[in-house]
Amino acid sequence: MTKISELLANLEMDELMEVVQKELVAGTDPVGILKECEAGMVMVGEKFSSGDYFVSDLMMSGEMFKEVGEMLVPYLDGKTGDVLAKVVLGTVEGDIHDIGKDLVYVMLKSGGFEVIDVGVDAKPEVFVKALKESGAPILALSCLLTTCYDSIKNTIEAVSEAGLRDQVKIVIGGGPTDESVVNYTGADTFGQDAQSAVRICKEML
Amino acid sequence: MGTYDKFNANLETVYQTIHCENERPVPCYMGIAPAPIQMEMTLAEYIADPVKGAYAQYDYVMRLSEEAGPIGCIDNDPMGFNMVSYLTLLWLSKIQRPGIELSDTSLWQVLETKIMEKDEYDVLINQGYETWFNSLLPKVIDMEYFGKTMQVYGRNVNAIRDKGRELGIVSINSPDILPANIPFEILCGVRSMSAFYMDCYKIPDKLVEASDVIFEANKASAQKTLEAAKDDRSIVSGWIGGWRTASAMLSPKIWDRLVWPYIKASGDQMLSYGKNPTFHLDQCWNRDIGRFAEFPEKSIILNLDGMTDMREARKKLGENYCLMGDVPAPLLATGTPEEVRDYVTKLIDDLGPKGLFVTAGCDAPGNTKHENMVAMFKATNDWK
Repeated sequence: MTKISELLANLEMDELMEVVQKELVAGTDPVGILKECEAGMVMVGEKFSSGDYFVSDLMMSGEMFKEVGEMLVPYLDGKTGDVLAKVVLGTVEGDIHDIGKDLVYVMLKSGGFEVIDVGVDAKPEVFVKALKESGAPILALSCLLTTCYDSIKNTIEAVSEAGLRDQVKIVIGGGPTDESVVNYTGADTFGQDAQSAVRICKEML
Repeated sequence: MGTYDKFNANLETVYQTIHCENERPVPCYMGIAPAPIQMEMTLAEYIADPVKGAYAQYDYVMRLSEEAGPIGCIDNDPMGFNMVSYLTLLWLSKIQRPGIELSDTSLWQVLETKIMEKDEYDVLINQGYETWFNSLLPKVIDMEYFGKTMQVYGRNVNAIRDKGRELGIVSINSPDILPANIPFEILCGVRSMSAFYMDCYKIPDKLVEASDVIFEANKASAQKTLEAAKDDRSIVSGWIGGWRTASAMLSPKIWDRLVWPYIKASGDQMLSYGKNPTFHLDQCWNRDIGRFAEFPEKSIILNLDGMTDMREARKKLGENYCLMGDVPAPLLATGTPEEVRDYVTKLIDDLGPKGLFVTAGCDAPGNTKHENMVAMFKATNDWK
């Protein structure tokens, strides 16, 4: 079984699919396979953090994780691994970029989070509604345009106005975000890349 | 003083800087969106009337010169080319337009969609670049809109250029040179980033074939523009741009095969005609920045956006490569003039003035505070 995590970590797409298929046919617990994939994604994250992997490698691993996930669906029968916590994720109003957000989605999901993705160009009230409905303790806001800093700010203000700010930690991310944007918008912190989003969300719990 | 004396003096300064022989750091304006906004146009109005927007850019540079001291150059000729058409050609992607798909004040944005299917690589490889390109262009832009913007550009480009020269402003990158560029960028745009990055792992050999077809076609077009421009000293440089090709984005295996060979060949072609390529490098290129030392010293400009470590670049490349940058967009949008001044002063202190154009990292964002723009250039002009 550890072969699954290694294949994923080494980005061996075809071999991974073959091995997973064989394991499923042999009656291996699909939740165990899922956990192996999650372990593989952790290894990918470590390689990214150490500078051995790059964004394309993260995207490739994300694609592999997604494809294995699709293979497992018929076998899982509604069962999933343990969920660490829920995260509401989206790109703020006025910004239609989704690549970074989608990558964060996969990384968080493979990191054990349940992610509620509200999409791109999302108005503050959409984030507030998702937070209320899910009870998620973490809000992750993506932004690729400096001109949308005010949308981050407005979203965080809307969270405060809804009386949720004390219960919700807020992380922002995307190319033009840094500590100065955290200060400007009232977020709690920022993530430099998709992999750091997993670490930050775990620290927020 | 003759009409073009100021222009000629600034042109000399630009060449001296590229050759790393300047004594002082050189302020360079770079920002498409802030100029029309500061001159009280919405971005919707700018897109609808890029000619007016081009003159607004000159007006804004002159205003900044009055407040911050002389600014003798801008990175790109304002040229009056519609940004939507320009970006469409660059990436073969759908561009959302302010005032049409987006609000009047919103910045134009790429809509990340898969336009090209995987089997269309074969169209490119077997039927050639022109057939492939012409089949895809109508899928990403309204051809009537595109045609009109090209006509407007053609009618106005010379007058805009003359106006810039009268004002003494040198445009470092000229629309008169169309470099062959990096096929990866256009393929990635038309396939969508997630699909294309997967292609890089699954069908790398096919991508090399496809890239070669695009590159050879673009190289032939580039040659015509370079032939026409070779004896005109006022045409300094052509723009070779990379974002999705950045080192931080791609594994070395992909980068070494699908990116660097084309950057090198595109730059070499320009150099062979006596022109100095500007490599506009968005995102982080730290891993591979040293590769640019494969170009001759004093011949290229590396335009960095604040994510590549400029100090590291100087260390790896030495004193004889011209750097352009890199005041970060968040600082320009949210910082104070004091913070901007400190950033710029330290940047020049650390890098030295020789071979340095001080400007915004990538394009200054539309919400750059005017006082920060002034602070950036004043700090450059005041540096001792």
